[in-house]
Amino acid sequence: MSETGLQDRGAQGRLDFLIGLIAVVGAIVTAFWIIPAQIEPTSAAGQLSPRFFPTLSVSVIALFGLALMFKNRGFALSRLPHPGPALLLETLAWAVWATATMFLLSYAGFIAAGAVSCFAGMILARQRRHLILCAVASLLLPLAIQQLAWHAFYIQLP
Amino acid sequence: MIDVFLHAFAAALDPMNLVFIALGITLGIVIGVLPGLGSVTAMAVLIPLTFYMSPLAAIAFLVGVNKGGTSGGAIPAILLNSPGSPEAATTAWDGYPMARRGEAFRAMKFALFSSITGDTISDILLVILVVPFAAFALQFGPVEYTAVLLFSFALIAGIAGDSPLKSGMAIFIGIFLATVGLDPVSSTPRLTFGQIELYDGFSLSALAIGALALGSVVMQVSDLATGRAADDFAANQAETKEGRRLSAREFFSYWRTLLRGALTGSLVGMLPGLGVTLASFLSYSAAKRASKTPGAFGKGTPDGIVATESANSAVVGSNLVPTIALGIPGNIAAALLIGALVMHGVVPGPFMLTMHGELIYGLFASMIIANLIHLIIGRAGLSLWVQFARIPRRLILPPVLMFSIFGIYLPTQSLWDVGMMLAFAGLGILFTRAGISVVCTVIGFLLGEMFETSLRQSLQLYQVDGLAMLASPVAAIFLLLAIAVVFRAIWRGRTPKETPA
Repeated sequence: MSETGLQDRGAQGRLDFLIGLIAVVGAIVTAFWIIPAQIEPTSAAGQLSPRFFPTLSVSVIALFGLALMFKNRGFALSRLPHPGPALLLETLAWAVWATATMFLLSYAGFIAAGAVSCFAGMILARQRRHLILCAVASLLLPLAIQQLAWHAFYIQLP
Repeated sequence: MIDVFLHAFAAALDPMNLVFIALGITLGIVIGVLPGLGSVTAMAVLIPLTFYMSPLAAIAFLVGVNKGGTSGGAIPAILLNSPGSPEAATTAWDGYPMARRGEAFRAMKFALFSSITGDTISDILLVILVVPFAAFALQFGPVEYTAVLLFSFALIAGIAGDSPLKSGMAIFIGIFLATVGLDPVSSTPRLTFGQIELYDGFSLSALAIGALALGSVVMQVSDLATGRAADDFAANQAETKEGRRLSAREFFSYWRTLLRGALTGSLVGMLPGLGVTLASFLSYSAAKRASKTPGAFGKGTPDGIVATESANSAVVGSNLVPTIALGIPGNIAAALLIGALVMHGVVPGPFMLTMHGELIYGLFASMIIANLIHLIIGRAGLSLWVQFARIPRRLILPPVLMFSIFGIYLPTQSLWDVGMMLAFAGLGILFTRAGISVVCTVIGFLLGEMFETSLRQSLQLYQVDGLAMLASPVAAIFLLLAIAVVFRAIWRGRTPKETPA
């Protein structure tokens, strides 16, 4: 295997170890704190508790997480850079975008939210020409969808 | 029976009936293309229209919508890598790489023709096997369902993504998400955090559209923004004969995959509740295992599209087996069809064939005729859909967010679901970038409730002796197969893979 291939494997291995660790910690927190706090135990005799299945599923997640950690234990202390921070940043950027879209949708309505997100998405995706046409299309498309929703389905979009 | 069937064919060939079938298929394809608006939503929205039609025309119209909607979901999967519904997820795995190579038209042809072939085989099986297979389906109790689901999870974890461990984890994350809401037995609220909206659990559409379709689109926009990917998709769609042509000989050279997919879809469809998505995955998995070049799967092999589309369309016909023979709807689409039947004075149940034989055989005939109409309409529509492949990605991807909001808001009119969809898109981005199969999470969520119910019933039935569960031969076979699949995955993980030079 080439040096780049080994580095990629190392980065992936370290990321996988971290995924396993997060899964195990998340499963423990869920099983011992969230589930007992959020699900009442049943008192009916001969019935399985409503906590049974959620606890079973997080236990299996913890087992898979442990197996993932064990498989990648060689990379646990590796100092190789991994894509973890980059993917967290990308998810955070989406969270900001999604919050802004929800805010616009709640307070300005579907047409404004649709037009702004569509035009901003085009600019972000490196559309640099015919911007006025793009802006007009971004405005007309949500308008057309809103009219379709009303006239075809009698549903008023927000 | 032949006389009844010929008479039913004559009724189905009534021009008005044919017009309604064509209309249903067209509307189904158009609605199926939009993310979030699959065949089920299309049927739910269009049922009131059928009130003014004759019973046969109404049912044929809805069957047309279902057929069109199921095959329409493949179009955004191939063109945008954004499956409109979970059952088209595996179509995207091979359809999108083919489209990137400039073979969008060919990929869509493969999808359409496989869909129609699978559907036709399933319809024929429906006519022949409706009664005996309904009796077979009745043999499936909670133990058998638990075993089948465990086997399916093991199989799916083996094919989705690079790591079976991460795929298995993703499936159980989906199952865990499915536990949010009211407990199916005691109706105790579980993990609702006091939110009344969570009493019904998370919406499947919000999870599927957010994590699968929207997440993929956001990542593509992000790749264009950061320069990780070039906007060369449209430029690749050259007008070459190779990129468009698909001869009958080439298509039918995949006959093994077609037949396997159609039979898998038909069998899964006959068992109530298992659903279209599971059929797609099992067929894809079987095709990959049977292939001489399994490494080509996921990189743009027509085999993957043929396996998926033949199986998911085969469910459309076969899920009517329990509906017609037993009055038990095979899936939500069949339940909606039962609703339409009741609206027209037909009582669903085991006596439907004897009491309304003419209508039911008319429905069978309409389904077979609908496949021919589907071929004509679908083929004509491909020339239109392929034009979308020629629009640069930077212009065609951003409006998907708007269509997704529209698709989620339309059936429930709830901003909560829109918010959930946006949140699940974040989950989809995080999982996909980390190499965790988001499709597995959706499958786990989809089958989670059924798995919980059947497992809890099995445990309560056999609480004294767990091994007594193996007394059922069907359950024992599927459990042994599941164990074999897990051991095979462990063995393959220990064997060093050859790397190409």
